[in-house]
Amino acid sequence: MNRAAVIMALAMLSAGGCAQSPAPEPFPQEVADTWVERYAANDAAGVAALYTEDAQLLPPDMEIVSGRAAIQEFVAKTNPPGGPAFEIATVETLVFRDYAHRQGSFTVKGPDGTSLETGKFLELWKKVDGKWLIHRDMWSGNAPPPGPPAPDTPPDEPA
Amino acid sequence: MNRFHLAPWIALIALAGLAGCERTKAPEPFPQAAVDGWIAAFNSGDAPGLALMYSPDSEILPPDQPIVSGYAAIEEFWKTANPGTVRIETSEVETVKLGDYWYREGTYSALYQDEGQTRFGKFIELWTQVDSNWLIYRQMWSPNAPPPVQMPLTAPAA
Repeated sequence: MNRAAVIMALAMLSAGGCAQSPAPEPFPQEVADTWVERYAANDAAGVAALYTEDAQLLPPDMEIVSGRAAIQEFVAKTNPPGGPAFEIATVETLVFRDYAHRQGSFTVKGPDGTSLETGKFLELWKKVDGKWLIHRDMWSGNAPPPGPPAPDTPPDEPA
Repeated sequence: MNRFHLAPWIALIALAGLAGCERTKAPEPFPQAAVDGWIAAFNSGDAPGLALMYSPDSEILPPDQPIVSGYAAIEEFWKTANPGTVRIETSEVETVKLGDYWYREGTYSALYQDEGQTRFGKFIELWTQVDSNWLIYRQMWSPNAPPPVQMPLTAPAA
């Protein structure tokens, strides 16, 4: 083998040792869709299974909810059968090697289809053992929650 | 073939190959100076200064309010939300490098000096680099409890 061939072979070996950056994957929308289906079916265990073991919910006006078991309990408590329906829209996704970011909006609908609340969310997804799961989930409404009803105004009160 | 003449070539090629590998890059430190600048501007009620710490396409997602987008709206938001009366401290902060972004999460305590009350909450952020400056791309936070109920002012006795 001449010297040029040896150098060429070494150059190829050296370059081959690099970890090539994989092409970005698409956002795992099918998992997000599964979340919506399970939530609508009041399947708290099924919803919780879509989070990492050390996932956190960051709900408004509440402390952080940490871990899959606590998330299941939270979902069971806040999404009882017969509760309002959720509509979720993905607004933006960024996919990295083992993480993904999703921003979206939600609408809470009453039994007659009227909008009860709108809001927004940010999520951090994590790939664990080849499966995409939600790792952080934060949301809030676009308006303060309704307060207690105002007291009735006496009909004879002067303007 | 003289192996002593080949040795420098082998070393050179190996080094060049390694230099081209992404994995050999030193871990990039989180741009803490940018966060420190944000906190300093926030705690001094410097809304115009705060607005400059967001990327042109940034959005903030405040609790109980719609998304706020763009410099002018973000400056206006902070002018109203903190006219220099709130002091914030962050803790339990974790950061993760995500491609060209930094993800940052943590908890905060906000001292409302006019009320003498401290409120606690949590936040998540995504930072992006624009012309070598690290700026906030997305920022969301919420308190751990509903805000205190504002008692109506009692009419002064006649």
